[in-house]
Amino acid sequence: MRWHWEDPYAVEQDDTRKVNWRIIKNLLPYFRKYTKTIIIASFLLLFSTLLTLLGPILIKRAIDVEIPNQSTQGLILIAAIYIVVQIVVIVVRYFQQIEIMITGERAIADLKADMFRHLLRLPISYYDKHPVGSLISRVESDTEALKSLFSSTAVILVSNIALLVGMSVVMCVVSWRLYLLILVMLPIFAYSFWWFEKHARSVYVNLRKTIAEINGFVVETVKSLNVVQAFQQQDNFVSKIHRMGKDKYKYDMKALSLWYRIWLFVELGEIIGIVLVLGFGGIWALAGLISIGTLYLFISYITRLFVPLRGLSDQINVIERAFAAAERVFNILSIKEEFHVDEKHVLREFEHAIEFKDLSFFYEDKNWVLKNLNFRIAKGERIALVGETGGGKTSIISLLLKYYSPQDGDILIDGTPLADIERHSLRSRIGFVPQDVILFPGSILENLRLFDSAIPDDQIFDAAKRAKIHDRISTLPDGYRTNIVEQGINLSFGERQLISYTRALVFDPEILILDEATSSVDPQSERLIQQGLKELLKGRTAIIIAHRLTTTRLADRVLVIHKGKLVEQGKHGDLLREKGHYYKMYRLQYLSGAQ
Amino acid sequence: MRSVIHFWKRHKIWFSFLVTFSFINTIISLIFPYILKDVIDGIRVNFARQDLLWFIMIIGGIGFLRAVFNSLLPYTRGRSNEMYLIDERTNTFSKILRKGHSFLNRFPAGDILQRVDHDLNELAWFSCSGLFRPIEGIFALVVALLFLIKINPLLTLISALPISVAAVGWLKISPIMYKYYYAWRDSISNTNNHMQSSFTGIKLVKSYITEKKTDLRFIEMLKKRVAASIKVIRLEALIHTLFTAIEETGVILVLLFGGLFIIRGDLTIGEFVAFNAYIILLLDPMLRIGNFFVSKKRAQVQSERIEEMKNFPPDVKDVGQVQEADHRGIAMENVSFRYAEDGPLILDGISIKIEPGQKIGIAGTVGSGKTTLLQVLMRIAEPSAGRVKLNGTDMREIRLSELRSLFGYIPQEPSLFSESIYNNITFGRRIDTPMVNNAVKLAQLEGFVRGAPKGLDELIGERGLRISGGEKQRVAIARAILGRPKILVLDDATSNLDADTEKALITQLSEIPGTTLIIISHRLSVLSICDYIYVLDKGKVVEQGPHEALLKKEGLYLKLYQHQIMEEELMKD
Repeated sequence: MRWHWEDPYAVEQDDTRKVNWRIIKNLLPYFRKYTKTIIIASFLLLFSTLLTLLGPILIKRAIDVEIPNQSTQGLILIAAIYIVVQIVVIVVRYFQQIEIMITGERAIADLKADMFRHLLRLPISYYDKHPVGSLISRVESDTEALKSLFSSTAVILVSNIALLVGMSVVMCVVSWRLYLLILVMLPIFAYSFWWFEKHARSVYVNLRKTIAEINGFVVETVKSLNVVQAFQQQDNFVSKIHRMGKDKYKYDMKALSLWYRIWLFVELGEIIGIVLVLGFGGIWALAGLISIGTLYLFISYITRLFVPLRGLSDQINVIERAFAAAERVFNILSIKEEFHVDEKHVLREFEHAIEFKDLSFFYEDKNWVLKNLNFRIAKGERIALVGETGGGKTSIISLLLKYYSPQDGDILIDGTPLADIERHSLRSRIGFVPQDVILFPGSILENLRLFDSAIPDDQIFDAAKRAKIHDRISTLPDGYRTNIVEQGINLSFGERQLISYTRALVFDPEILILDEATSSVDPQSERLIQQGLKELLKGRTAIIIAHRLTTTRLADRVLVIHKGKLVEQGKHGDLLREKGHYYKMYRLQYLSGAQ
Repeated sequence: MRSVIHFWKRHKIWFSFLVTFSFINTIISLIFPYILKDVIDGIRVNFARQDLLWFIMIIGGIGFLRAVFNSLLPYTRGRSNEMYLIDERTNTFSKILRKGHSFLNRFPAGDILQRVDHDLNELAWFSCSGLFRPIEGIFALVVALLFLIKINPLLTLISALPISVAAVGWLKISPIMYKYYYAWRDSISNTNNHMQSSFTGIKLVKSYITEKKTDLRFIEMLKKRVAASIKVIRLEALIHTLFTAIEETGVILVLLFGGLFIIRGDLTIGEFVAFNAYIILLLDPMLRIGNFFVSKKRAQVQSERIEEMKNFPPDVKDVGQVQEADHRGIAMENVSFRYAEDGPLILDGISIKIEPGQKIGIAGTVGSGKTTLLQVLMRIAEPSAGRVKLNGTDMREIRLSELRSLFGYIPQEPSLFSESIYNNITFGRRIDTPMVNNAVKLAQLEGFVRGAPKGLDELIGERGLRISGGEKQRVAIARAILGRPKILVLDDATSNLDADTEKALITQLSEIPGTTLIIISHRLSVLSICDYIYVLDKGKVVEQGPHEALLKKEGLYLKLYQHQIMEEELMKD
């Protein structure tokens, strides 16, 4: 049973890679911490595996010596030894199994933590290119694939090899004649596994592709259900998915028939082994060359030999997937973090002004988003940025937060170029309220202090009171300890907004950057949000991407950004009188509101 | 679960074949140690070489059969699982295709996929493998016990006793196991939720310089997760250990008592060896039977999840009998619509008329109910009150397939599939290539198709050609006009084209003889070519008439007009 997170829309191209030593080298440090445990566990594994070989040897002795001698005592002694051996095996196995699995779990948790840590420190541009779902897949599913490589595949390989070697030695010592018979079969096995590996790869790649196609089709259809119905194409779509199902079935059957051949091969191998041993062994036994106990030993070893061989073919698929996963994991870990070298200036306090000088900027697609932007924000000023979507407002605040670097021009804080300012000291002066309210799994309290336990509870209660959300939080089932995500609490849009404001209040920043939500709300919530905003603005320098007229009225100055340029600026009333771009926007919004 | 029973009802012969097959397989697998017994005893009493060869041949033959059957059995089971999967997937999908908006409100796309993919797969495994493995287990248990009793009843009683403890034990332990599993699963989704929030809110995390605290939090969650998984690991290891211990107890009992019996002369060495083999074979069937109760419970849940989806009532029922494939007039009479019974009215007492050959425009602000109006008109959504009549007959009495074939629908968001341009246009209909080419021409897609490396066969979507919004809309238009519908329905379907192209395209569409056009647009240049315009506000028709007359009214239509002009001006600056 597995409940791993899977990205339903992810279509992995080719999910298999051959064994690669570079990847193993990358993986090793995660296990180094547990070297001692791994060595002990490996030793225990080898020890218990070899001990299991003793069982048939003891029974052989009972058959050959104690029973013919009618020695009840000897028989009891053997049974006693057998019991001791089995107890040791079982106990050792128990600990070995637990140690290996737990080590795998811990090492992979370390790897997950490393990936998460690293991802959080990657530049925002990385997030622009990678959907959240695929990032979670990398941290979750890919590392889990590596875990099974360590805690199941490696264990199976080691114990099977030990078993093979151990049995060989015992069989060789007990009867070299019979052993030679069995040895003949080994190259056939090697060949069959090589054959399986070769064929299974392409079948599984195709199988995964057909599955991804079916899933993609289901999602696309569900999303266009009304069109499918309008065109009365339901029957065609049904036969299409049936056809796709048959395609997948084809590869399923191919995979099954590969398995069938491996199963058949293993079973036949076992039977041939037994027939050979019984045939020749029987003749030799009749001739007195070997004992019946020896026959028993060989037959029981052969059956044991073939059980793990079946498991081995299972592992081929696991190994290849794990290496593909590891490659993706280490690719992420090798991406450079946000850059720091030139940032020598630590911003201790914001004193005078933020200046935007000849600022020009584009994203990866190289279309200018901002072009020669010039303006100055004095300490204590409240600025509203307005303009059409895509006009460049968000880029301005992203640049100020150093999420990206401009191609040309600069932003100066108290005269120091942003490029020289250490980004953490910059960001700690700024409080950012994004458009969407982000809530983490955890209590409201943790969400408000963002897991910073150094912030005292009272400071949080105080902020919530100022944002007028304290009373609402107090009515929740567990008050501030309520886990909104897990307990499925429905907070209204306005309440969520206020929680976001409270978070900013808790951190009490000198500069506030707020990306106002676009959704329209009922007048009462609107009033609450505006009240919260006023509280939030008190005594701060603020830059607000404003969508509401009430918000622009609060601003000391409105900057109209249009197609990457600053086209107008001034107070709300003055701009209206100028009857320029802002006036038109105002009229437009007024019209929409009036309808 | 019903679907599994249903599947086997339809495949009775296949079912009886599998039962027989499992039974034969069990007998063949289990007869093996019994013959082995005779060989070993024979060797002990020094029987003739000839006899030995005979036995070897029998062993070889049976062994061969066993090998073939043993590997064929999982093969046939796997095949049956996949057969069920195809059937059930197709069936479920066909039910989904008949659902309406209330279904989509209840089940998000990701959830539907989860059920169709994951739940169905597990149910498919249960449908045959999950069912037959315990059946086989019962066979094996009975047959092995029979052989054991035949060899020596007393020894059977002594040695099989501890193994029966295993089955009882498993039933007791599995609920605990499940508790641990669920705790573990919750801890996994916790870490995933944390990642989801952190990655979605990466800008927040960075601006509050809370990277460190966020990943400390993650590590904390991982620790809890490791702790939860260690519980599972420990219990699993314990179960494994106990079962091995029980199995080995059986072996030891055979060794000790069997040995004593031999010394007393009640047992031969061959019988002793066979006993050993049978005892080991007993444990697996017991576990299979025990496992069945667990997997049945899971399959029940999965089956319920699928049935829940299948049985969700569709909004529109296809029960009409009247055949009507012509358009002589549509009338909406006092139509109201709401998504939920206690929800707000999206359409509120709408009455409109559409005559054949007319060009009807629909205007209104965002959220005024325009799209819903079209959906009710095509009977994709069912009105909550009032009637829609086609040629004087209530649409509910008309066969859905014929009714909908009247319409060519071009939605706001052109729904394209990750397939070739050709398939996206034909959309499953069998239509000659010249007609497709004609539709491509009418939709002004020729240039785009010529530019694509493989022409009409070029794939679009995620793994194919990148395609712009305007091109998407034109593909959707080609798709709609290809069926030569009597009524073309455009839901703001040309918004991504520039004004000139849009007007030219719509004029061209309106010139297709015998076609009625119904157009939602926010562009008044488009509306101005319509014969008659309905203006919607908050689900009501507030103004109606031809373009010029509406402008003169100086009401909402004029405001919309001004609004649009201003918007255009703003973007021109």
